[in-house]
Amino acid sequence: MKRVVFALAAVGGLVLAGCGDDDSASPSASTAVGAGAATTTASAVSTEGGSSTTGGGAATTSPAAGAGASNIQKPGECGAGTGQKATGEPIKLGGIATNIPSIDFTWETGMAKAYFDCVNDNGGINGRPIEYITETEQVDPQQISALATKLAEQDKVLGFVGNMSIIDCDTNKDYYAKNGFYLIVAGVAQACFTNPNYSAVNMGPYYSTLGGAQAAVRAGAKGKLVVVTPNQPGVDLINSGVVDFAKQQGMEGISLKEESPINDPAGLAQKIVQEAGDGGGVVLDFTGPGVLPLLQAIEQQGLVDKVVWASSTPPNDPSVAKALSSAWNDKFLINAEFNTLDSGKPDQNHMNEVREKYGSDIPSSSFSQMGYLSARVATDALLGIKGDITKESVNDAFKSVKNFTSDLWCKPWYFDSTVGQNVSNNNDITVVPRDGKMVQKEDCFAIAELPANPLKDIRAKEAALGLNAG
Amino acid sequence: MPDFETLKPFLVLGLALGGVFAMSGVGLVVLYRATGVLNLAYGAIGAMGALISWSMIDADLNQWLAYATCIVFGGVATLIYGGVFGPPFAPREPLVKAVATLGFLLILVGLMQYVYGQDTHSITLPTSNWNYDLGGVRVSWTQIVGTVFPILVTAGTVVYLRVTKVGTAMRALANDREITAMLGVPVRRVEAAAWFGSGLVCGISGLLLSNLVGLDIVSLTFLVIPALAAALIGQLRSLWVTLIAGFIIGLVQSCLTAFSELSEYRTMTPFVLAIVALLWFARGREPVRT
Repeated sequence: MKRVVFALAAVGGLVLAGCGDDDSASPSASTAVGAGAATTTASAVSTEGGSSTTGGGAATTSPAAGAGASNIQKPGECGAGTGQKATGEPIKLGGIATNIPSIDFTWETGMAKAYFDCVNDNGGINGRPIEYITETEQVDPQQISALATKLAEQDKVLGFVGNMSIIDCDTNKDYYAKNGFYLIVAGVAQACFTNPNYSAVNMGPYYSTLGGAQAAVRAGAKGKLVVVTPNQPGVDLINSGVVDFAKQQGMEGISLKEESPINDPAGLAQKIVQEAGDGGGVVLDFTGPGVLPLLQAIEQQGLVDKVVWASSTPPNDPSVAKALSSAWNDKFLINAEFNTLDSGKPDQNHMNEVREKYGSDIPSSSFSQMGYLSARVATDALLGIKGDITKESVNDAFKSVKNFTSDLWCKPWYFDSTVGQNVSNNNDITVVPRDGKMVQKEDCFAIAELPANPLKDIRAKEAALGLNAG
Repeated sequence: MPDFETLKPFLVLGLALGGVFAMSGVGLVVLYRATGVLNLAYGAIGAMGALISWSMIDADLNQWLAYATCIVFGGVATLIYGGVFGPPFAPREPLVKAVATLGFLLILVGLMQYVYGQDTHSITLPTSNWNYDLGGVRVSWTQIVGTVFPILVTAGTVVYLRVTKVGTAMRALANDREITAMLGVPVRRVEAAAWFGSGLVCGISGLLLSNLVGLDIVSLTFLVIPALAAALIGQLRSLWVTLIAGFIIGLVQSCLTAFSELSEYRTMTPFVLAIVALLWFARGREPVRT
């Protein structure tokens, strides 16, 4: 009898364990993302059906080529670069990052903190140090709502920098708007790119997977394009970009969702290849640690050359390149929202230097690049404030950033708080693993304009206002 | 409906994965029968061993030494846990003993996160590079080992339990611990053998799974679930039924990948099969009155 009771208890535990994943993909969160998407689509379609530089789109320049050098950080300096420790009253800033199994965005806030620490050792903001208070969330709307309120009302942060969360933009957009916060974030959900209170230093998975699909088509993918994304809130919208792009190219688009972490990578590899068919294209949207078992399973089963493999940004990570064998040389096209981590360019070198000194435990990756850029932009904005540093002046400074240059980006970055379709970073490069390193494969190219995305409108606005120019 | 050609690679993958689930399940059952402990930290111990192995390879140490260390770590870590926590928990209910191993699991996961962080790690056994074509399906020696070795381990364990003194003592412990102790059987030593043996199997499973599934802390830690399901289907008693259940779980889970409509739900396979089996075992029994 004891054994039966015990066995039932164990199965109960198993069932409870199985329920855990469902929470992270709550229908309400998905609905919210979908609603945001619907707004975007309507607005874009009302202007005109999209034409684009898409699959065959010619590459333009290398990252930051031609951009002004005004914001490039000098070696050994951060912020004001005085070399003096800041000792005044702290300026409080907040940040929230998702941290769940196989999705750890704290690398981003961690790198932002490392940069702020460097700023504090270099005079801070006119002698005042930045106190960067970070919180982690587990894709729970109630939790993240409480965290934003806690940071704003209890900790009394003056602004939010470097938020990188699966649900923050959807859940807290009304709260931030009501309280006058303009956030410099690393966007994940589409709401981060459609609400005027956010501007993201990256372009997020929707546009990045689209960039991956463009690279796959340029590399010769034909017939079918398969996009595979972790099953999380907003996944349908993320995948819709690749599916729409496939249709535009006269191909069949297939959207697959996969539980993360992947627990049978070999099976998934077989399924993906069967779905794509010989010579088809596959775009993956997993983090570096998340995608590695799948890539290794693909190689072990001899599937590397069956289709054209591409990915969104996260695997642009030296540890991924190091872990892959030469079988993958030039065969995994990663859409990189930022330059390669060993590009040797001044800002990238500076980031590596800051990470080494202030955040050596933070993996060097595209997430750390996002944290670095968020903190860089925020610091420059704070240093430009004339008069008192208050919540109002901080958020005014954030939303006034225009044409911020860095060699990590293809084009200068700006905060757009007027249109509500903020995709300032909309030109990317393609990188590939080669002999244990990530190397640039394609120069900067424009992410495809589709009827269902607002890039056509955004680029028209940029041209008119002289934004994203350099 | 996928045809046989489509299913062929999934059958091969399912056999290998199921084999490792089965071997892990057998390890769990042997330990449970001898000590009354359902070791929920099984996957985490395997993951830790595999990560240690990765560290050694990364430090340019001999890879075979690294693989051996993974297996020995499984045995030693399990033995230490059993030696320290086994005696004080011995008189407690099985559920309490199982929950205690959850604590061990959390310590190991925390330690792995602290030491190895979220960086990418991978191990490629030499056997994973030895491939050949079987009816149009690429089969690696790691998959063959994953399929055949669990059968040998199970057969070896059955023989060991039948013909050796320690094995006989383990079976006696499983039947009645107190009477066995009164007969002069060195209970602690027999239990230690069970902990160590089960841990060695755990180390082997961790090494194989780090190749078949990937060296990911969370994935490997929670791969105890299919092994546990196999053990439950074997009613925590039958090694052969556990072995077969492990293979079936692996095969069903893998083949479901090929069905577009069901693919999303394939990770539920261990839960569904375990629940169906338990309901089957419970048929005809009187309901518990409270």
